Amino acid sequence: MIEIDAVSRYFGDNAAVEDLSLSVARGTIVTLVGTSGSGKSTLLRMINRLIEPSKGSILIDGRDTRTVPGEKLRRGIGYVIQGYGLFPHWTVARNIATVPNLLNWDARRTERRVNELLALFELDPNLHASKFPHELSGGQQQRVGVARALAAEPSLLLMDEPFGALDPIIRAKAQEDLLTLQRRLGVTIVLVTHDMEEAIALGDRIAVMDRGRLLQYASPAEVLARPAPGFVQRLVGDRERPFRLLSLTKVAECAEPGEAAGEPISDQVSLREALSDLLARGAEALPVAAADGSSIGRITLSALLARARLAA
Amino acid sequence: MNKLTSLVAGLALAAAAAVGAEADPIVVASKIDTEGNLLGNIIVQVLQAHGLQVTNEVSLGTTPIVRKALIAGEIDIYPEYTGNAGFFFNKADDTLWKDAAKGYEEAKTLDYDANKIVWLTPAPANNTWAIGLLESVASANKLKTLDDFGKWVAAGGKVKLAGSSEFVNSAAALPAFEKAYNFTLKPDQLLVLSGGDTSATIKAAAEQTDGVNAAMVYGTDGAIGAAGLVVLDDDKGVQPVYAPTPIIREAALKAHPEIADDLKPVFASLDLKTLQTLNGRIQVNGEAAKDVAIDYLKSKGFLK
Amino acid sequence: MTAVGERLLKSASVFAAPSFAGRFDKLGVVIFALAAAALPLEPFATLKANRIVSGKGLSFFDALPAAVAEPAFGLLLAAAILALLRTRPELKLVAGAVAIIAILALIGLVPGHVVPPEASLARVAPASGFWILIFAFAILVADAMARLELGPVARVSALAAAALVVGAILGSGLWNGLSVLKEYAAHSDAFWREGATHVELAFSSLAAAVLAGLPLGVACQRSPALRSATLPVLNIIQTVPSIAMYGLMMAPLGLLAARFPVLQDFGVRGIGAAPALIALFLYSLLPVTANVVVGLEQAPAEVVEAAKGMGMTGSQRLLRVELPLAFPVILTGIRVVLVQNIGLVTVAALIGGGGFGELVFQGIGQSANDLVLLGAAPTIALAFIAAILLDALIEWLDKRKHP
Repeated sequence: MIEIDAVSRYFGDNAAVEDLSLSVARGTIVTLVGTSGSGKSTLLRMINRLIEPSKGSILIDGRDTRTVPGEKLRRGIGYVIQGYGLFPHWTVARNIATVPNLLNWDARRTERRVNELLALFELDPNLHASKFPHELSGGQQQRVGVARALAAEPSLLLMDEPFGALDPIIRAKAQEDLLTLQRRLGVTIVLVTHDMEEAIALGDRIAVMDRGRLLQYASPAEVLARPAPGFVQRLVGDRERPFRLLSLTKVAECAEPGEAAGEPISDQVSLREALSDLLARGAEALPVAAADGSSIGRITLSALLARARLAA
Repeated sequence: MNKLTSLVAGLALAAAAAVGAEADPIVVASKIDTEGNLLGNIIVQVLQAHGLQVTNEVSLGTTPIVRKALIAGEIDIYPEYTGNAGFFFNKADDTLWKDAAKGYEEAKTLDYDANKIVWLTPAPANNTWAIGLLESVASANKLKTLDDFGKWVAAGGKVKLAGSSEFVNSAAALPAFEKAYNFTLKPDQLLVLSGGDTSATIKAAAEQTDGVNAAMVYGTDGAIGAAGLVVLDDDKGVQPVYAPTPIIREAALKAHPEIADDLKPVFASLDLKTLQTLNGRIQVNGEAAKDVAIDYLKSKGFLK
Repeated sequence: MTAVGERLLKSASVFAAPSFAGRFDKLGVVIFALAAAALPLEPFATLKANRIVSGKGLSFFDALPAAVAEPAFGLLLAAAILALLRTRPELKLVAGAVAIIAILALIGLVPGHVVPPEASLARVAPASGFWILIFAFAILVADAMARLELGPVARVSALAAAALVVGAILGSGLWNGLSVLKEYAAHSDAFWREGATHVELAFSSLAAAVLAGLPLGVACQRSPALRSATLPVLNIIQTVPSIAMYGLMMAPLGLLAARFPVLQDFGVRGIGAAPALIALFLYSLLPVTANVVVGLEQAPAEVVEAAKGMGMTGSQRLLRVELPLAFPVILTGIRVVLVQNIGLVTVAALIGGGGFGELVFQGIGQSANDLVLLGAAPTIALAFIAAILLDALIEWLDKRKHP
């Protein structure tokens, strides 16, 4: 859906983004990850032309973004930033209705859409629609921020550290919710983060950037199993890798027929969580059950160890 | 009053309005002081009584402001003083200003030649710098003129004079009196006030603040009587004469030549005592200048 | 040391005892001291033979009939004692308000008591004792209101109540014997005419400054170069003394009006409202423009970023987001200008601009302090009211947006 073609951006002599090419498939989540100053936010902002590329071009659905007037482009792309930028002088409902209003939707359509989104994000319209942003909790503000970005039904959503301000417990839930949302709506997402865990958890593909250049662009499994030498390797973190690798797979894929003693674990948890349970209970194997409680089989420590091994 | 905000919209209308300039009302102004208020109101009443349209800008501002306005044609007529012409035309040192008739003629000529301003009939009063002495002191020592005063001070009379710093230091003021009448006031016989306000000096004498028993006054000041002061006669004519005179732009006078005759008897009736009394009613009694003007004009039959 | 001295010292040492401090309200001590000293020691009113000479001071008991003076003295002393004690602010507010109303009423009774009927020129005016008492109880009221932390609506209601009280006193004719109202009687036409002019000048210069200052401020905020060129110039304009500014305006306007006589029909002349208006406009530009700039700057960065990112054009961002968020700060600038201009218009009387200054300068010229008061008091009241109303508005708007 998005073709980023040899894009560069200079600020004076400094290259914030250098000769970067990348392609984002429709309906997928791509996470841009790197330390601060890597150029990931600059790249994100070039997609919706908040910053213009110095060189190269960006095509969305085959059209060069420069052929569309900037405001029109942005009204068709959802945008969520750290801090959310909710308009403090407008109610939640009016905030969400921002882009529909810019697009001159009729009032009833807008109202329906606002209520739909509030329900989707588990915010009771009767309670929350006429509140002002300062009356909401951090988590609620974050949800309104995403709702607002999706109001005009864009097919592309750009997000810049959208979970940065949340505490760890809420953040995990928010990430899960985003995944669920994306599977449901099929929207393409490009998300910037400095947190490798987050990038791995959310991305269908991860783009690792450093000093304006793209170092590796691959699936999380690939990046973990075969990180590009140097920066990517360091970023992925040697000691963390086996655990991160395990986190990519669900128990359901690794279960084998057989029996084991003890309280069953769900087949939907990740292998990392299964490892944690096995270690905690000092067991060699644990039974696995499906959501309805029926037995699927068991998961063994040795099977896990095999999966975790990184050596070629 | 503030039509500035409609300037943009109505510019076209102005062209038509400018054509009807002859039907403009006469703009009567005056200085912001008590006597100016009185004389300005008198002029307004007289002109209105003779059927003229008048725009009232009485109590407009200080002398420079009012003068500029007249020369620029923004006002048409206001009461001025003959002696002031000396300052307007930088001839203040000339002795002719001390003669009422000569001063008037000179003012009339100079202003007409330079600005096409016509000086109409003056009032027989002299609103010039003078020395006012407490009545009790004056009658006790039989002092009527500044000549008497000079002799009395030189002989050791107990006096303390309140005056502005300009009055005390300006060569044309107190020093001129001292020279002409042969007396000198020592520093401890003077109370120098800042600002030229005679009301302050008169008040000081009336209340005998700091032992003051004499004050710098202007001849027609309204507070003189109420303060218990008498004005000592400047029998040697040391000071220039400041006779109140209505002055008018020639164009306005040509449009309404009857103004000169209308004002002539009125101003001719305003002598020193009359002006002091009328000013006194405004300043001491607190009556409105307009009311005092109307009352006076009616009492003299100038107004029905 | 004398016996009296010793006793005084002993009673004064009470003030030093720690328990003393705990029982008494610190501000209340000041208020009590002022009131207790002013009542017996300072003249309550002055009686003048006519409007221009100085008068004789009359003490509280000389100025008022005994039947009134004694209970009134008790009432005021009680209020002062209430100020002294640590009590609830509501009580102090009521005590202070009652005291002020009493004092205002009492001064109206003085002329009837002290002026002999044949002395038609005699004038009665409030003296230092009156002013000190009003001041002391006004502090009491203000302090009590501050402690009650009244919201904007309550404060405006208090203002309205105060206005009603003053209006009632004026309407009842209670003050008609006082010198200031006699001045009013002689100058009532001028009072209302100049009052209207005063308000017109203050408001129209404000309106013009907002119309010009808003776009100028927006432009300055967008362009640092313009900002660094404009704000210093406006700053310099602020420092020009008002009389000089009015004078500076006269010459070019006079020339303009002379060249283009049509302008005269629209009131554009070298004298009067035009130079005053332009001078006031110039003085108003800095507060308005500077506050527009600051107001726009303080919009949170992520809010502006979000507005851009969502596809608002520059003017949509300005009108829908930045200006509404900047509004309280801009309104503060407007408040500053309005109060400033109400004061500055006073000087415009010197160039024929009109306004309450006419009365002030006539009064100065005639040494009639009460005429000065007639001009000054409404000016101060107007400024005060404008400040209270606008501050309340700003606070009310602020409360809606923030927790």
